[in-house]
Amino acid sequence: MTITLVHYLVLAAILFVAGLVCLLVKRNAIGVLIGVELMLNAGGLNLAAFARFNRSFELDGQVFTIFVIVLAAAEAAIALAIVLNYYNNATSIDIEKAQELQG
Amino acid sequence: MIDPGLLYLVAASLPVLAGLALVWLSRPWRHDHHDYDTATRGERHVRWAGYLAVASIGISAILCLIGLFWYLQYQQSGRDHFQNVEPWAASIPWLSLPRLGFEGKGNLGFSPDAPGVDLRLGYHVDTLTTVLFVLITLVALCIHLYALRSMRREVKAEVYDVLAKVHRPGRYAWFFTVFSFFTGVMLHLVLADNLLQIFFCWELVGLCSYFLIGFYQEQRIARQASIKALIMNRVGDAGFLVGMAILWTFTGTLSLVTVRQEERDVLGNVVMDEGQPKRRIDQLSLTDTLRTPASDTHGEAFEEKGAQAGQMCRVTATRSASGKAKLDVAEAGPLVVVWNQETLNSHFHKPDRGRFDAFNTKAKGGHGKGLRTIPYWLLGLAGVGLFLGCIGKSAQVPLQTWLPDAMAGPTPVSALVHSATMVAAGVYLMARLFPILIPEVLLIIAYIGVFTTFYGATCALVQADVKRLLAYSTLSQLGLMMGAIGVGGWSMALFHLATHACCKALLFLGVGTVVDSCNSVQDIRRLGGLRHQLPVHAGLMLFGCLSLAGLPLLPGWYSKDGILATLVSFGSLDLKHILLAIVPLVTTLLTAVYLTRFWWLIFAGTPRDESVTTNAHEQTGLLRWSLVALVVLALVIVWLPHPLSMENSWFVRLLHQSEPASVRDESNLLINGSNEQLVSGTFKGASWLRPVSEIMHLGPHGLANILAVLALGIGIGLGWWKYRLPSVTPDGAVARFLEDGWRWDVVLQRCFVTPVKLLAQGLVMLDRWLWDGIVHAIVYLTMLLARAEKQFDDHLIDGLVRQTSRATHAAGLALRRVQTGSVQLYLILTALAVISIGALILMLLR
Repeated sequence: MTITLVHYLVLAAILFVAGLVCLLVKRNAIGVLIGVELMLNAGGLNLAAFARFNRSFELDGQVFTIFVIVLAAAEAAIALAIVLNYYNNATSIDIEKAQELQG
Repeated sequence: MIDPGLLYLVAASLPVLAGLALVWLSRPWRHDHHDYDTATRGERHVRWAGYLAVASIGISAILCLIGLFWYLQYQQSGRDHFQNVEPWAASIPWLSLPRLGFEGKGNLGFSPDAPGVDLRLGYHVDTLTTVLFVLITLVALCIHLYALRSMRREVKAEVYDVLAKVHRPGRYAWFFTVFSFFTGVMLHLVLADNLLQIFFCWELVGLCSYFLIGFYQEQRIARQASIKALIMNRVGDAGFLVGMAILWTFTGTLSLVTVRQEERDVLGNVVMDEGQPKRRIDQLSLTDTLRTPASDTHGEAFEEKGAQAGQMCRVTATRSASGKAKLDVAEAGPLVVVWNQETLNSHFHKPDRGRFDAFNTKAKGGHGKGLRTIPYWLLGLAGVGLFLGCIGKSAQVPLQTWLPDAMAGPTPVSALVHSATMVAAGVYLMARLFPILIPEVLLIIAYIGVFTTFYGATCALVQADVKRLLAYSTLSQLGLMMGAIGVGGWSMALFHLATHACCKALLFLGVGTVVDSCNSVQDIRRLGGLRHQLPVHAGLMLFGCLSLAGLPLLPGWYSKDGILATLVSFGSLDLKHILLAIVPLVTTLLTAVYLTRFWWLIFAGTPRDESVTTNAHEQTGLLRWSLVALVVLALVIVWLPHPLSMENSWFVRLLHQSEPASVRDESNLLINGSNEQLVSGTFKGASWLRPVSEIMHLGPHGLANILAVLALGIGIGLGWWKYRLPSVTPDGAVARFLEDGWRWDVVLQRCFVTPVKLLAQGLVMLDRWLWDGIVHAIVYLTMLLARAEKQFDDHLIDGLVRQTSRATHAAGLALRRVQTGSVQLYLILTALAVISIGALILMLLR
């Protein structure tokens, strides 16, 4: 069985949905961050797969993937800083409790 | 050399300046304060007020005497008229006004072509002025000296007012301030050379009189009297103003003296005419505008044109076929020619064009040579108006009631202001204006004067208050003067003014001493027997009384005799006016009665009220010598140079000199026939000592003489017989009627005050109901409108705003629920939204 683009795309979709669910249901802020990472990586996988199966998109796809990884790293750094700060203020990282900005 | 006229200006200004200077010393605005100047600066300081006033009037008197001799010398030096007059008069232009003229077809309006008219300020000294100056300053000096002593109790810082029963600050300085100011203004009144200036002084003496009557301002009666005097004089002044306005409108001048100036050419050199400087008329006097001048400045006589020099030129206006207005000289035409300076300065005589062609007036743009006219009746109205002013000032019927009330002032005031000078101002003015008065007006003056003299004498018969008695006597004598002026006894009226001033001042000052020495009691019924305590005063006052009553050879006799002779001549020449002769003769009798009563009740008999008269004692010093000075003055007036011939008396001769030329003419117009008798009757006084046969030939004058002396004798006899018993005092309805001055006040009250008050009340009603009603209705309507608008505002405009804010608020409240603060909920919704959008796109793309 040859591995086609669809396989990659399905895998990426599964990863994305997993990340999304993780993002939506996790109460732990770290868990949420992990969900975000999963979703970004699902996107990155998509780009890599397109680069692999589409010659005209090869270089672009790889560069985009790398950008996604860099972006994910930066995002993680900022998000972790926010979480840490929140923890310092509330001694908790439960985002259900972080509802002070409600109207 | 100094202008002699300036001497008089200085003499008149000195008392005014003294008065103004004394304002600082008296400071009337501080009267209510207890730190009045006497209290803070001492009595000696305040005495300077009196010294200053006396010094100023004294210097004035000396200047006047110098002026009099100077004037006489001038007259004797035989210079021509202009040279005589010019140094004695001067005036400066004061206000320039456009001339009101008749334009086009008789429409009154400001004509731009007509030259402007100057209101001038000036002085003019003629014989009458010199005589009156001497009289006023000398009488005023005597009274000032008397006041210096008699007002001394005012020097104190605090004075007890017996009648008002209050302590008040002394007003010594204030008294002399006003007194001095009054004298100066009175002198200016006599000196003024135009009616407007006279009017100013007229008002100022009225004001001083107001201050002086209200001197004891704590007394209610004094306050009321001062206000009464002021208001009644205003009534007269209204007439004065009307008269002035008429004269001003029609003649364009208020001047009393014709001003001539040397004519100058372009280079400023005097134009010579036959060796004499040529003169042109700068300003015409009222007399010269209304009475035909002898000639124009070119020496052309008017006689040949039908106008008589010195007469009012009466004309009728006709309009010729070509539309030219033409004036025809007529016996009693409805118009009087108003001469103007342009006419007199220019040749307008055209002999070839007929007799009256000179009177052609130009129909259009006529100024310059055109003659203007004044309706005869308007001239009469002007005269009556001016006489009304004199009625007010000289207290003639019907405006006489202020004078008896004015006795609420201090005695020197009564002597100077209300008997000798101010009230004589009316007589003076009528004398001055005599040439412009028409015969009908003169007749009115005569009748009013004669009625006043009778009225005053009857009221004086029964007065209880000695000062009121003298006031009514003053009224009576003033009436006599007015009556004399009315029938042409011009110089006799002024002569009587002089003798009366001296005698009445003497009587008032004497009464002042009596009252002061009798605990301020003025009731004649409580005095009596004072001849023992006050022998010298009794003698002096006996002199005053007999003189005023007209005892032969005493001052009042000469003048009164002259007046009676004039009146009797007048009455006998025209029997229509016989009342003018009878009433004064009866009054002479009454005068003798009341003066006898006056003197007898005060000085003769036994004291009726011991408590009043016990402390009385003879006064010496100024209180006596000022009276003696008045006696001497009165005698000097009539006795110099020789007591038995009045024609030669210096005073009468001066008066005859100053008599306007028209005096005889007017009398001529009034009585149909010759007035030779009248004139001779006037001139030949003191004929008493002539043989009886000669008297019989003297006609009316001799008759008047005999009757007057007879009346005097009967009067004195009656008075003595009636009042010889100490207890007799008049009582009963008639006496009360007379004592109240014929209830004249009540009549005035009923006729004028009450209607005016009713009118005022009516107007108040009108105000309250009509005008206030309209205003209130408007207010009510406005308030209604405002209320409606408030409702509109509150409910519609505010409602809209309020509802908008409420809706916004509700929307905010509703929308805030969306913001839950739960991040994951946002994410879920975002995800759902993305998914549904995606699904939608897919569905649409399919």
